[in-house]
Amino acid sequence: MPQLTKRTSYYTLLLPAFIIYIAVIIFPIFMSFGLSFTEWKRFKMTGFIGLRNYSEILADAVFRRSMWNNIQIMLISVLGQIPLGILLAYLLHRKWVKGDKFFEFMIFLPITISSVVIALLWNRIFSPVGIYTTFVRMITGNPDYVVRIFESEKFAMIPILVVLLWQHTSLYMVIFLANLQRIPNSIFEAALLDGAKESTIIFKIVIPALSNVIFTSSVLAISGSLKSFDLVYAMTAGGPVNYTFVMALYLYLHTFTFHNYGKGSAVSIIIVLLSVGLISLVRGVYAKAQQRYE
Amino acid sequence: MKKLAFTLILMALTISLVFAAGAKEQGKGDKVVLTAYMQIDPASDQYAGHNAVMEAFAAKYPNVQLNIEYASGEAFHQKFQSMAASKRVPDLFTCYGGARSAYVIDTGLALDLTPYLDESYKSHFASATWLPQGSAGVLYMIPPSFAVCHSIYANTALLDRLGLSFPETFEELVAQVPVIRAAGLYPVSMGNKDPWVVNSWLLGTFIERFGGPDWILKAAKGQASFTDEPFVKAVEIIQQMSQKGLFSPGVNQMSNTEADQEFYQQKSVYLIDAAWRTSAMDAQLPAEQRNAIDMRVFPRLPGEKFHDNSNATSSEGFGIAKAVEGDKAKLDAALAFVKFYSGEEGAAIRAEYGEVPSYNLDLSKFSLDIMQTKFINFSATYSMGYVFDAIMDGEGVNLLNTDLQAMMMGSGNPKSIAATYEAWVAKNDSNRD
Amino acid sequence: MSNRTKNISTGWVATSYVLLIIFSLITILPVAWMIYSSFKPMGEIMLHPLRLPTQPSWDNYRKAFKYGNVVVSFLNSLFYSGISTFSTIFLALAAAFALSKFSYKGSRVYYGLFTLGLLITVNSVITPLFIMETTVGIYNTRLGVLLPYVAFGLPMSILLATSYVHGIPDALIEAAVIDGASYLQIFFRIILMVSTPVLATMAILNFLGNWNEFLMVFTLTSGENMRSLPVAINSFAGRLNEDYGLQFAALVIGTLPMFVLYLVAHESVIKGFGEGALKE
Repeated sequence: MPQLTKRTSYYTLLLPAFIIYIAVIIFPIFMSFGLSFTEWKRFKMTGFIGLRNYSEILADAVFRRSMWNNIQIMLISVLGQIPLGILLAYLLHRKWVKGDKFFEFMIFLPITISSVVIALLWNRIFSPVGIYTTFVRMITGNPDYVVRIFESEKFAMIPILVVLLWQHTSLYMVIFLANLQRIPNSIFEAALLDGAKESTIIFKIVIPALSNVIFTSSVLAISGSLKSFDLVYAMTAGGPVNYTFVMALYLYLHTFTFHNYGKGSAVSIIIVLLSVGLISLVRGVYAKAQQRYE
Repeated sequence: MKKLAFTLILMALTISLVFAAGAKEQGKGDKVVLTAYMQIDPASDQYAGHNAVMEAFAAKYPNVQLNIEYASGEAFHQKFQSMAASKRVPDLFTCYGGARSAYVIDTGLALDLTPYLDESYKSHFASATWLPQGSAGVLYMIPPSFAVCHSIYANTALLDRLGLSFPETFEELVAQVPVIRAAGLYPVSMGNKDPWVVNSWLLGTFIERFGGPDWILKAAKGQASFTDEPFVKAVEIIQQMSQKGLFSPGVNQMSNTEADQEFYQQKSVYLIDAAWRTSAMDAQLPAEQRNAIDMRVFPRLPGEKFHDNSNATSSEGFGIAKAVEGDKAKLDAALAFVKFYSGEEGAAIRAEYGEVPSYNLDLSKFSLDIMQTKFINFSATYSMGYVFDAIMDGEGVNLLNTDLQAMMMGSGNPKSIAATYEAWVAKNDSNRD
Repeated sequence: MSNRTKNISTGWVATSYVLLIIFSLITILPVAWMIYSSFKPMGEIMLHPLRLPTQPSWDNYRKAFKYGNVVVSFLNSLFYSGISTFSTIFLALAAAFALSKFSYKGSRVYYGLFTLGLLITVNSVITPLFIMETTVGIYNTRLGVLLPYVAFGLPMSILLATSYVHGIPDALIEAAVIDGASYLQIFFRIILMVSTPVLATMAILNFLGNWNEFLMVFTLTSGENMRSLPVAINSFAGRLNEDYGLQFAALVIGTLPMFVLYLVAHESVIKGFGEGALKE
């Protein structure tokens, strides 16, 4: 087969993916961008209103709470799921416990179960008629016991964060496990012969070696956190009141329930901008950390 | 090279598979084909009647072929809205008479059935069937039955055990609370995790006790204000119910089904739920337990001017797409379907499965299950008012509901909730235009 | 070669065991409960949630099969997830090779655009997508589902793949160029062979994401024969009338394939990782 020039090869490799991507994702996003400056009443677009959608959204206390909730999710992802994923991958890789294949499977399981199932099971356990609640009532003899944290304005997100931690750590464990395999065993052996402790190995060898993957995972975690919808919708639908609202839910509400396509589009643009901002921040941190380690 | 060839072959196979699938289904012979999109769960017991009607229709009209897509819950609406946005609506579809289906009936996509319904057909139905629908106030579907939204179920076995009887007034109900709790039981189960529950099952009825059956309509149009007594007092009652410990502790955490579960497990004495829960009860509870369940309306409220009412709205029926108008064969088939479903034949079949149809039938001829019989007596005994969220705009009701839920959890008060809601409605609600 | 050392402190080992066992219990118990509850009728689940089924029956499963068109939807799910995953990882690796090993300035722009896709939720594009597909005519076709699946899978896959390909030594490629290989040949013979770890990772992530996906298949298809498993199951998971027994049966049917697939794929994934490591 005749050789393609370098440039032609470049485009042959790149364009199929790019074209599909542009058609499906970028084009609708441009449509959204345009729509975000419009007003909708009764299913009809009634005019251009500039930035008013944006100002209304940012002034809405419900949206601000949603933003805060998304940030909490982001923190648990980057500071919880990723370190836990690294730790679990490491200890499985180094075979500290017997039956590592079994545990690997157990850790991987949560991510294969759809969010709807998880929410369902969670409710079967912790709702006022759930197994756990019934059990505690029986033991303490207090029939008025319910899990109070669900109703707390400040802490209602915590149960959701816990479930997210359980569900997504497995994702990162898989990624890190795969990449740990690339570090030659000889390095571990050498370090241990030198008398290094495990914690030293983790911080001085594993983390620098995986730094690129950690960065990528952080980007994935941030974007996933800001888009978070399925689990929250299934577990609480944003309630009680609006204590567990997230931005994607706010988007859904305004687009599909209130038919205000202008506002809904504005929310998606805000989510995009926020993500870009946060990812750039992480990129900056990563660059500095890289300098330190070099 | 081999890899390239392999990949290309695979892609070719895939593409051919892809185009082989998904071809549009054509009608066979001279059948009239109608596409339908229904918000029905064909696996559920509740819709066994629906399945029977479909079979009967197919038997009577063998030349009509219905390609039906089923969906349930919110997913139904979400996809339907996408369809409406692209102006491609199926020939037949589940349609609500009010705000829920506004995206299709208020956008000119649904056919006005008025010219096709003559007086002789209409006279067989309960008069409430023909209430105006949508903002144009015409008829887009024929309600097959009515959804009765307020009822309070009482476990008389437990009442007997506690030496109590069904309270006539709200004060009596409140007085029962210490007795019930001392026995380790809960007074009232209600599942307000989705906050529209307290609105649909309670608020509307309370408002009408204070303001009369048409008060909500008046307030919607601006002839009364939500800061007036009927609304504020209704909200106050709900607040008192929370403060006086009427609800079981998990009221804002339990879904409707979970509240039912609490009641079925005989942990509570009363259950507040829709009147159509009777079909689920017939399916899930033993006869002995059902015989001990009384179906009533809420006791008299202090200062109420109207008594013993519940509220109802027409249930969803099937609308026809406006586009069908141009094709006579399809139009006739679609009309035949909706008239069959809600009319005599369909009503008779559905009644056998325990539904109370809007078509007037002599129900004594049907052998109905325990709770269904109670439901029929209930519908005949109590007068029906309007359902709040069938009339008012969704976005405002949503804000009101979250405020109510916050109040039930201890923050906010009736007067400020009323003021906030009135302000929103005055500015935004379409009823006030 | 074993990674085990003889002198790990007991502290670490004990903590590890505790962590892992707790995690496993949290995972296994609810799932086990769901499984044995699926053999009970709804009434029994409501009244006696914890009991083992007194008269276990396959009723719920029979209903699920009847109304859920389970066999066809399972095959559809397999088709959608499988083909889209295959296409995505292939296209992603190709694009990653282009973006990281050809030093063109434009690559940064392309890469940035791809990364943007990570931030887009399905909810925000679903209505325009629906309108586009009905206009073009691929609504309710399998292609109409595959294309969005691939499009949504590309950002993350390209991110992972680019980071990986970046780490492949340039020397390997330069040597092949000197030997007279075309870039496409280099892609198939070298890059593809060396990238098995990232291919395996991308495959798992994409397959998983697409298998449980609901909204896109639901909105973009309407025929019963086009539905995937989650969509078929939703048709009896309506919120107003929840029959738990039926729901559980449907969910067991829906989740079981993932378990099986993992068990099967697990072996080849480990092998894939192993080969990658050996190449070092």
